[in-house]
Formats: sequence, C-alpha cells, structure tokens
Amino acid sequence: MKSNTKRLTVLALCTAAALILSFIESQIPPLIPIPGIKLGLANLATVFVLYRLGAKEAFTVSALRVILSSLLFGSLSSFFYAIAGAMLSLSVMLILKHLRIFSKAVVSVAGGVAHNIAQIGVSMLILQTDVVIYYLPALLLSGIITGAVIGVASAFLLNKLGEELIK
Amino acid sequence: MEEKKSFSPSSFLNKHRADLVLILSLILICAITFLAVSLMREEGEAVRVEIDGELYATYPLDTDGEYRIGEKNVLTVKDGRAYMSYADCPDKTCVRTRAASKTGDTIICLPNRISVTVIGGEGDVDLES
Repeated sequence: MKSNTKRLTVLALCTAAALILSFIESQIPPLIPIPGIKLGLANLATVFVLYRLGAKEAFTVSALRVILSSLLFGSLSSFFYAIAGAMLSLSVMLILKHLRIFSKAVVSVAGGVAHNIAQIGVSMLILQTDVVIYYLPALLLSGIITGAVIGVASAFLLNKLGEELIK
Repeated sequence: MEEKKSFSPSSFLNKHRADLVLILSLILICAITFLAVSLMREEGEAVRVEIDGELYATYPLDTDGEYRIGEKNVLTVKDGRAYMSYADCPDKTCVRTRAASKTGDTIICLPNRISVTVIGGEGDVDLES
C-alpha cells in the first residue's frame, strides 16, 4: 500500500461495506429459532480485508464494524456477543492464514466456528448459566456451514476484485 | 504463497489435504458434541425460570398450567412441554422457540433477560442415562 490517503480510503470503504452487510443481515428474519445462528455476511468484508490488506487492518475494520452496527441497530448485549465473536473468529483466521496450508474457504469455516464458540462463551457469562452448552452442536454445525458459504464467496471475491486496491 | 484455487476433483485431494483434515475434524467434533449432548438429555421434570440470572420460580412439567413471568411473558406448560406463549418484546424469538421438554432445553428471552430451563428430578444433568 503506497499512499496513506488511499489506504485510509480503502479501509473506510471496507468498513462501510461491512456495515452495510451487517445492516442487510439484521433485516433478514432468523430462519432457525436458535439464538446465535446467522449467516455472518459482514465476515465477507473481514476475510477480504484480512487477505487483501493485512491483519491490523482486518482487526480495525472488524472492531469498527461491530461498534458502529451495535450503536446503529443493536443493543449493549448484542455488542458483547458481536465483539467477542468477531475478535475470536478473526484471531483464529489470522493464525490459520499464517500457517499457509489452508485455503481461504477453510480459514473462513474455522472463523465461523470460532465465532459461534465465542457466542456460547459470552452467553454463559451474561446469562450465568451453563445450559447454553446444549446449543454447542447446533452452533458448531451452523458455524461450519455459514463459514463455508462466506468463505467460498470471499474466495471468489478475492479472485475477482481488489488487486488494484493495494497497488 | 497462497495456493491457487482449483475446483476440479482430482487435483482437489492433493492440493487441499490440510483443508480436508481440518474440515473433517471439525465435522467430527461437531458429531461428537451432538452425541454427547443427546446422551446427556432426558425427559425433564420441571422448568426453572430465571430473570437476570436469578431464580424466579420453578414449575413442574407434569401439571398443565399458565404462568406469568414478570409482567412481560407468559409461560405455558402442557403435556409435559413448556413454551413461551406470550412475550411483549418485538422479536418474539422465545415464542417461536420450540417447546422445551428435555433436560437442558432452554427458552431464552434476551430482551427481558428471562431464561427457562428444563431440569431433571435430581436437579441437574445426569450423565448415566
């Protein structure tokens, strides 16, 4: 990334895109009445930034997206769920990406699973109960499926778009 | 370098060995937790209602009834199953949640911070079922 202005603009653009994806997702009614199961559309932007721009940028965009979307269309408790999910998911994806043996789609799958594990952890803390552990299998499965969907979409996106962003 | 993606089945196996190992282990872990959780569950005997993490009431599952929880929710017990029949929150997630009858089944109303959990006779989860 050469110029600072371009870097700033691209990051702002990705944050805005992530925010829009969050908003679109918040408008989709939940298909399965299990709290925590959702597509994670905003992860598309996170994976994109992680591979195109780097780890620091991905953390920035992801944290900003969570803070802004919680302020705009969430609540305090939804913020804790979202920030824990986003940060754990991104950390796992970062580690797996650096191992350099996994493809993008699979890195995203692991991110999806990590996101949902974080959700379980936070709900244990907030609700002060361990029975949410019964949601673990369903959330693991949904993490695998949604992570794969987003991962494959991200891989296509990264193949088609964005080389010019970092030149 | 990143591996270039290829979607043809023959090269897929060679290029994505690590991917396959990770995916299969995740699916395996998922299956194991499904199994573990289903072994831990049995028909419950009562529901434990908590508001803000504090015990509000316990209702038996073998007696039908309708119970007000706080001012915002109504819990109905019928034929050994409990479900939230009314909630004042806009999302109605708890009302749509399927009826709870087995230990560990939970109905959660996040806006009103209510959790309804099915418990067994001995109080909690029994691993030996």
